[in-house]
Parts: sequence; C-alpha cells; structure tokens
Amino acid sequence: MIRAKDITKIYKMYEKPSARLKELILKRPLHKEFVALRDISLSVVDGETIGLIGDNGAGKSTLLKIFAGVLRPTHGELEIQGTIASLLELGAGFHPEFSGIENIYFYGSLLGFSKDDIKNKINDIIDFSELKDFIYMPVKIYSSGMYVRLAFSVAMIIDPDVLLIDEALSVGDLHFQKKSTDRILEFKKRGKNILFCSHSMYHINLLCDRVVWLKDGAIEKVGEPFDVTSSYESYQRSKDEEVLREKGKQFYPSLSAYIENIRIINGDEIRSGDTMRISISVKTIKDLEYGIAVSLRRNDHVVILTVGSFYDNLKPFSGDREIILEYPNIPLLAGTYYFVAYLMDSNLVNIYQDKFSTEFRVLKNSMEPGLCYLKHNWIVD
Amino acid sequence: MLNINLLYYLLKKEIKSLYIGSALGMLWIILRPLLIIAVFWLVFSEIMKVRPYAGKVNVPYIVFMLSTIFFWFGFQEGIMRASTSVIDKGEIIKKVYMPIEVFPVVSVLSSYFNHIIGSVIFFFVMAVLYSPSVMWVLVIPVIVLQILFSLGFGFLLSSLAVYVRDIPQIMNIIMQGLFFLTPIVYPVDNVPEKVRFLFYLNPMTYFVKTYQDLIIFRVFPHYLNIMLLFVFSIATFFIGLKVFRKLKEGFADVL
Repeated sequence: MIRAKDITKIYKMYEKPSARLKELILKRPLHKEFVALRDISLSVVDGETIGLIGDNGAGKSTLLKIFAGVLRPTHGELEIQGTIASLLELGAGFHPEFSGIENIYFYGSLLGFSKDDIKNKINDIIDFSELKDFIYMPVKIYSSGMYVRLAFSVAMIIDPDVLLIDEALSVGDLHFQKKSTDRILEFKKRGKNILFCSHSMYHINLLCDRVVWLKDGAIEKVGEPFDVTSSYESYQRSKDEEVLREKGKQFYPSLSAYIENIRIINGDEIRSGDTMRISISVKTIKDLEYGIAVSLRRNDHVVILTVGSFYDNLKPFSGDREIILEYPNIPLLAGTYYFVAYLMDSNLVNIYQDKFSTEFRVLKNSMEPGLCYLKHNWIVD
Repeated sequence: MLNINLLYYLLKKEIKSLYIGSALGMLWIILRPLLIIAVFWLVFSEIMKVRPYAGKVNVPYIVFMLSTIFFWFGFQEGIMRASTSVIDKGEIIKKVYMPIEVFPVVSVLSSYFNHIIGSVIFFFVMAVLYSPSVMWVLVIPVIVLQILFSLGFGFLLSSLAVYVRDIPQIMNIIMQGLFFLTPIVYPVDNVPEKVRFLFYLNPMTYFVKTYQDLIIFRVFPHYLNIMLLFVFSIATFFIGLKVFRKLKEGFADVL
C-alpha cells in the first residue's frame, strides 16, 4: 500500500555545489528554484499496478525516486508499507567493479538479506537472468540489456512488496521482455504493487490498472488506462501539430492558398459502418490550380489511407471553394482517429499547407480488435 | 540505520580487492610503506641524527618510528579514502535507497586493517628481540578510540566533499603537513619550545604520545591524556555522524 499526499519537490539550482554551503552559512539565498513535482497525491491499494506517463522532464523519474527513498520530497507526506525494490534508470545501482554475482550479494545485503538467504536464491536469480558465464564478470562490461536482465532478476526473486520500474522493460530483447512481462503479471496477481513508468502505451495499457499522466510536475489526469493514454496521445499530437504549424510558417512564408477549415460533418463520434463526410474549405490568394489529399490516421499516427483528388483523376481545382469528401460505410473499428488535409499544387510537387482535423471516436460495436474491418469468409467443411 | 550485513559484505570485498587482483598490486601494498619507512629512516636517523629520548631510554631510531607510524598510515589513508568515498559512489547513491554511512566506514576500517597488519608484525619482532609488555594490551583500546576519531572525521569530510569538491585535494596537503606536526619521526622533546604548541593543537599528537608511553616507555599514560582521547574521539565521532546525516539529505540532489 502506498499513500502519497501533496508531494512537492523543488530543486534549488546553484551555479556550483559549494554555493549550497555558502548559502547555509551566509543565510542569503543564492539559488533559483525549479519545481519538479507539485502537490502529487496518490493512493495505491494492494495489488494495484499504476502506470506513469508524461513527456520527458514531466517528473516521472523524480516521483519514482521519491517513492524509492533516494530523493527526499521538499514537502508532503509519503507512506509505503512493505519492502521496496526499484529498477531505476537501467537496473538500479549496481557496483560497476563488482561481478554479477557480487552485485547480487551487494544488492541483497542492501535490502537486508543475510548471506544465507541470498545463497538460497542465487541459482534462481542467475537462471532467470540467463547471463551464464557473464555472471562472473564485472558489470561494467555488461550491455544495457544484460544490465537490465540482472537487475530485473534480482528484483523479482528478492520478491519485494512494491516494485518501481522506470523504463526498464523496453531494453531487454523480445524474449526477455516477454519473460519479464509474465513475471510482472504473476507478481501483480499475488497482490503486490507495481509503479511503472514507460513511453510504451502498449505496455501501459496491458499492465496497469490505473494510469497517472504527469505534466510539468503536476497530475494532469488519473484514471482508466485507455482513457488516460488516449488523452495523452491526443495531447502529443496537438504538440506535433503546433510544431508543424511553426514549420509551415517557415517554409511557406507567402501562402498563395490555404485551407481555412477542415470539419467532420458527422461530429466527433461515429459508429463502424456509418457514412462519413468531411468538409474542406480552401481560400486562394493568387489565381492558381490546386489539388487536395486527405490522410486518415489513428491517434498513434498510423496512416490508414491517404486519398487524393489527382489519384482519383479529378481535374485540378481553382478559386475559393468547399470540397466534401465522403467515405460510405466506413469500416473503422473502435478507437480515436483524425484527418490531415493537404493542399498541393497541380504538379503534386509543393504542399502549400497541411491541416489537422479534430479527433473523432469510433464507438465499439463489435468484438474484433484491430484497425478496420475486412470482409472475410471461413472455409470449413 | 547501519546495515551490518551490508557493512560486512562491503568491507570484506574491499579488503579482498586490495589483496587479490594483480600480483604486483599486492607487492605495492607492502612495498610502499616499506619505501616510505626507509626514506624516513635515512633522513631522520642517518642524516639528521635524531636520537629519540637520548639519556632517558635506550631505543633504536627504527623501533621508535615503527611503534607509531603504522597507526598514522591507517589514519592518513582512511581519511583520504573516506573523503572521496561518497563522491565515488554517486551513481549508486542516486539510484538506490541505502545507508550511505557505510561508504566512509568501509574506507576507514579497511585502511586500518591493512596497516595494522604491519603493526602486528612489529609487535612480534619486538616481543622476540626484547620482551613483551602487559602495557601493549592497552594499545588496543587506544586504537579503537583512534578509529572512532577517524570515522567521525571521515563522516565530516566525505559529506562536505560532496558540496565542496576540492576537499580531497586540500586534505592531501593538510595530511602531509600534519604528519610532520605529529611526533612520529622525531620525538616532541626534540621540537623547539617555540613551535611545540603546534604539536599540541594536533589531535594525533595525543594518540602518538600515548602509543609511545605504552610501547617504548612501557608505562601507563597520564590519566588526563586518556580522558582527553576518550572525550574527543567520541565527540568527533558523533559530531561527524550528525553532520553527515544532515548533509546526506541533499546528496542525491547534488551528486
């Protein structure tokens, strides 16, 4: 069980470490403040797995380090019941000069196990890590994958009540990823807590019961994994769009034509099989001919289909106009999607502009997982 | 809290790593102090003609020097290694919650272990060449006090060094100077009255004089001297520990 109340971490930034002592002695502030975490409150019940997501620098690692006891919060209260093991930044803190085996003893004794306790477990640890003869070599020569395998093996077999994992899963090879994911699921079933931070929304959705989205050190959203991860992905996309817009300004300083608006006529919720219409309105400044392309994407940026007026052998457009694109009987499955419209010259060489639509959701009305529905037949005798 | 399993494991590992490893590494451990001892012997006994306690007791120069120099080596090496012990382990301290106190403790204890071996050999040779004395047993509690004093000093320096990175370099110079302000290679009697106070400002002087009383003169040291050692060893230990515990809150932020 973990209970965190109003955890705040403020870093004092000094020009050099000795300024910290100077400040202590002179009682004159010599630092700038940086708020890494702001009023984080979180209660985790036994058996619950929490996912932490957010941009780089949002405070995920800082929060995990506070839970691990490595960092002290500036203020706030933290209560954790049971033993904690952490896999922070690639495999905890191993001693680089020690061999794998020595590090197992080191880490084990760090967690308060006696030599005999560790001796009983050491073969399991070595087997699980699959490090074979490397276990006798100093860990400084390990690859990052080997490092994580050792760290993960130690942490799992030491069997803590709370496991903190920071990005560690994405490092091992696929075989080890599968093995460790299985271990985590099994660990979870036994009523233990896991706090887990990752950029892989797939892993987050798979493993977590609840997801916390951190933004600039504060909780932006907490809740059901799918709900939070899709909000996060939408946010990421809007950031991408901003970057693109900035780029657009740079690349096409004098627009001769632009897309004024792209609108989904059906609104933001549809069902599989609906007929979908979108409207694109174009304004021209100079007299010119142009074409339109429209890309349909899922919110993780997977392109489903891009259609273009020229692919469909339409004559180039000219002047201000509103163009409607229709998708009859759309076979998309449940998920969140969006469109991107491109305005191109008639030679298809220049893209004058690209514009993103708002998102729309396809509601679930069948069981099949996937992107879109394909007609199919089962041939059975 | 100090974790005994961890301390024991790291200490064993540290001592082992000094003795195993390369064959030449082992050689250096023995050779280095021997060379230093040879140089001091040449300079102070043969060139400067220092005759310790001449007229009071008949003691060869080499016996005089060896009676205390190993304890100094333990002190000097322990302090120097302790002062960088926390900085060196920065990567681990930032990632794992652990009793950081073990690092300076391991540095100090392993250094004493290495040099006390030299001292043990010295006592054996002395027992054969001369005769053993009951007073020698009292050296043990004095060493314990000296180790406590070193630990306190080690805590203080290792935690301050995280904030002021020059401390290990500064200490290197200070320790070299301090050696000559401790009556190891010449007795304090040979020091001119004018500068003798400098020796008495140096805590190590009191330890060294106590060892000389016990080993060379084979007498019980003055009770005030014993009291003094007792009080400031324990005080240094606790003050060092307190400072360390206060400063360690910021280690992960600074390292």
